[in-house]
Amino acid sequence: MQVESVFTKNNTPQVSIELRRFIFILAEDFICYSGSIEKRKKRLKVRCEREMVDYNTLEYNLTLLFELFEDYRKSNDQVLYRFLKLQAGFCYIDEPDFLTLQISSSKQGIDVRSSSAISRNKPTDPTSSNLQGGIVGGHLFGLD
Amino acid sequence: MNDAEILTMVLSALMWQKYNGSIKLYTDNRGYEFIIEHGLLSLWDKGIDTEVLENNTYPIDPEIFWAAGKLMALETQTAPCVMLDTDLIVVRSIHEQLEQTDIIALHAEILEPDVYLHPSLLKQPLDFKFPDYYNWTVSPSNTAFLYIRDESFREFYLNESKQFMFNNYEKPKELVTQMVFAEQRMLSICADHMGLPLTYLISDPFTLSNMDVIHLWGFKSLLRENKNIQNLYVKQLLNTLGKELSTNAFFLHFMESYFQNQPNYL
Repeated sequence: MQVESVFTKNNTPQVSIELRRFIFILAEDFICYSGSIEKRKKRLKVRCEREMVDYNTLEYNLTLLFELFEDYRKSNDQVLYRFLKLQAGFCYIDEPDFLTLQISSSKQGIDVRSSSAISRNKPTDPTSSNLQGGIVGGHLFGLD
Repeated sequence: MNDAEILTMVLSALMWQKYNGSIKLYTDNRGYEFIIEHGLLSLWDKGIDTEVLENNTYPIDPEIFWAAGKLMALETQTAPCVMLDTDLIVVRSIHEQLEQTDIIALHAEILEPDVYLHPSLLKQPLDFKFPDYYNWTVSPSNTAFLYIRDESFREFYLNESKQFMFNNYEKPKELVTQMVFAEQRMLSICADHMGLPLTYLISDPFTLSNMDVIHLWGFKSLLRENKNIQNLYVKQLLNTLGKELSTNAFFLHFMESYFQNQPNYL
């Protein structure tokens, strides 16, 4: 019996180039110039309503993007960078635009290749504290 | 376990059943209570075993040999069999690979001297001596996934490992090296000694040619400390693998009861 599920639906709305541009500039202001986006939220909401895009979801996704960016800025963790890029996609910021934001991708995390055993699941020990990347097969669920 | 780890465990069991066969969980009473609390009792089609771990009286220090329970579980199985960590998802059928070889582990590990110690640095039980036939140059194997076809190899590997772990109570400075020797390096040493080919599911942990496996591995640390990453990981895993299980009654029930009130994931 076929069971209807939310996971079989394509929930991705179509978004105009103009709205994408608007969102990108918001993100750019926040990330590159530490600007506040609060004043422009009202305009973003109007644009979303015009295009039948769920504003609440987009606002949540942008908030998450900015929080991840702050996390990344503190840690420079390579895995965080990959999630940041993924989250940008949920905010309709495609990869070429994301790259223009010039959030540098650090090389941290590559060490996990050379001492993989340390990053296994195990009781906490000091030697593993800097090896928290190490996800295998991230590309299979959308991480570049 | 956080939401992301629980979802990974659920998908690990369901995807294995979808593509590769039956599965049983070995856990202790504490783990069993957790399973009940989270409504996961029927996740493993071959059921849940608590007796193996609860009734075990082996003289093994669980703090030093924290993954010894996996080996105890392996001891109760008969080859051919697969041992699968709950943080590892096999996303497609691997029957063909299993048919072609005797032993398959997840991937080779680098013989990092700080992790895989020189034998003289390993803590040993009293009156214990490493056999002369141990080849210390072979690459250890990550055993988050392990397939063993040959019964005599399974027995040999477990016996060698137990000889090292039994009555080996001297605490090391950290809690990695003793365990990874007994489990991961020992596997490769035993395969080498028996002249059995040891192959791997993936050639390198981070290769893009990996089309088979998602393994949380050290990523668990980041998941535990960053709620945003946890949300995003869950959302993305559901977006991709959720489609594969869209007709699975257990999965739909799990989603309804577990993630219903957490719209951020959907």
